[in-house]
Amino acid sequence: MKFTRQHRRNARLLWQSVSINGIPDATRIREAVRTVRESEGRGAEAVLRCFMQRLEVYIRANRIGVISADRLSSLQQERLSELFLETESVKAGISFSVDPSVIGGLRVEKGYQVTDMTIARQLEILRDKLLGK
Amino acid sequence: MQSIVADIEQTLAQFHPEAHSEETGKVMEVGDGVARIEGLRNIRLNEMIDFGNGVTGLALNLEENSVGAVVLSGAETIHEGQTVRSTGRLLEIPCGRAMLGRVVDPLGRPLDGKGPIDTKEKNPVERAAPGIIGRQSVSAPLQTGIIAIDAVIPIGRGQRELIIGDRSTGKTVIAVDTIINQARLNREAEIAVDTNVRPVFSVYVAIGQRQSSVAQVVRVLEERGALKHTVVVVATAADSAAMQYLAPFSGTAIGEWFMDHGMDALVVYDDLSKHAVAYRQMSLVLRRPSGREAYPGDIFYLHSRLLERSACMSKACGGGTLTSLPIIETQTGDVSAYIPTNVISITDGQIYLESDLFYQGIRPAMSIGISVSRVGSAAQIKAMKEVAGKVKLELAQYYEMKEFAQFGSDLDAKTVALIEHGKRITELFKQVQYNPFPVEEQVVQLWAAQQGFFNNTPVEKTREVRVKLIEFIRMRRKDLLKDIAQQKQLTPEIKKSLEEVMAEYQSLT
Repeated sequence: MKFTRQHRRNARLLWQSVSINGIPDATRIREAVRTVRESEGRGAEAVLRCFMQRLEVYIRANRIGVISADRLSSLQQERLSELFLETESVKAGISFSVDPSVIGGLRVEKGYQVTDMTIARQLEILRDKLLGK
Repeated sequence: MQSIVADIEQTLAQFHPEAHSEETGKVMEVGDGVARIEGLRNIRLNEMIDFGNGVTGLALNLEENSVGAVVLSGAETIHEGQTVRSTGRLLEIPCGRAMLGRVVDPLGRPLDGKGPIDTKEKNPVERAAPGIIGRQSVSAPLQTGIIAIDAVIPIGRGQRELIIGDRSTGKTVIAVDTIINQARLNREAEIAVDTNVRPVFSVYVAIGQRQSSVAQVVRVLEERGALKHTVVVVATAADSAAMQYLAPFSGTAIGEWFMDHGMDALVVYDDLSKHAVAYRQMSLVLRRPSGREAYPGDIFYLHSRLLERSACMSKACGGGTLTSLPIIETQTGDVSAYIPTNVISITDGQIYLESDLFYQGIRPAMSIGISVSRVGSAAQIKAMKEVAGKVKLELAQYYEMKEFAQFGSDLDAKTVALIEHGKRITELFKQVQYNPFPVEEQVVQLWAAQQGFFNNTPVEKTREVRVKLIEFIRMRRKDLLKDIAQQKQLTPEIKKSLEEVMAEYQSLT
């Protein structure tokens, strides 16, 4: 489907209207989508698709992933969830996964921001230092 | 072995594990040498991106939800969904004296098979041009060794002189001759241990050319002993548009190292027309808005920021210079096209080569009428200024009168003399390629012409007589040439010696 500049502009305005302090609100989103669908205006579908793209980008940018070498216990997962998920609006969600190659420690990915406290990464840094990089 | 172990132990002792924060992105699409990346929200313009496995890219398009990056090499190894990292660094190229004599790509990687380049110094590929206050006027000459240029369109150190013309008119030959002449002067100064002579180091940047052409240029430089004073930066037609885009900036960064260290450097961009085409291709794939002839809107800025980095620095700022010889190829002599007019307005003059003159046998095929050097005689030694001062006017009068002579009309003696003199000057300006003349020999030739030495020589024999005269002076009166080179002016004693030499030559022939 081809999106014109007007579709993108309207989607941006819609996004701004459902956000509170830059964070989209789930209730407002549902209401806005219902209103646009019911209006059956020209280009409504295109605007909604553009809006959905923005929402997907936001979710990807705010999704939190925790990678560990071994499976974390329920208590550990709960405590981490409390730490990371502060807002009550759109929860991008937190996921826990296991990757034995990290050897130990945690890697936390919030969207594309990665904080790596794994042993594998420390060994990589040490290797680069020894190679003079 | 023990020292290696000690180094390792020292590194381990100084190592403190800590959380490592970095920004990553994900490749959404890749094609035509460009990757579109989601994420990397805090990346800066021109920052390097690490795709992994030694593949790097440059962030060129910073959009609301994505980053457009050109992949510098190895684009075929990138796949959709791949994680990439920002490096926090701008693109840098190795530089320094160790680069001399080497053929490298725009990332500084050697292409000549002579092993790695041993240098720790690096310069950023993109850098702001020197400010106004740090500069001074161009005054020192850059001797090209081509008599037509040094006499009539003199180039100074720190100047930007454009070489413009159609295909196969001798543009590259002028640039290569200039490089060969700098190498000759450097060699002579080394042998004579002359600290008054400032050597000029050259950088030849080949953009979008055939590999065979570049190989030929490298071979000529090597044969003439010029390669060891030159760095060759190559991005051929087989390389990606991104590499062709970077090549002139890399060459400038290498030249700037010499300038920053108080030395003189020359950069030849061969050619900027292909550079503009590569930039257009890159910009279109990045979906930047296109303008006239499908070039992006900032095509002027591309060349202006490149050429403004050439400068003549004041003594307080090191006194170094960076001279540029950009080359532009025109189509059917159209200098009013988009890219040629852009670069003409940026540079400090142009050397215009015409196909008609080339096919008439006038080589270098320089059009004296529309070639200009905005620095002018400020970049000439006194001796050359004296002998060449009237040449341009005489040639202009000759071209005008030549038209009348074609109609077979009766001309007065003065006009006939003017035409004959013009013909002989035109013959003197013809020169074999890769054979530059030292400035003192150019002065002798022009002085002889002004004194009417060639008046009795048939026009077609002028060059032959010129060669014999120079050989005669080299054998019999080498000291005279040395005096002219050192004193840089025609003192009464030197003029008297020149008259004696001419008389001696004429008596023997």
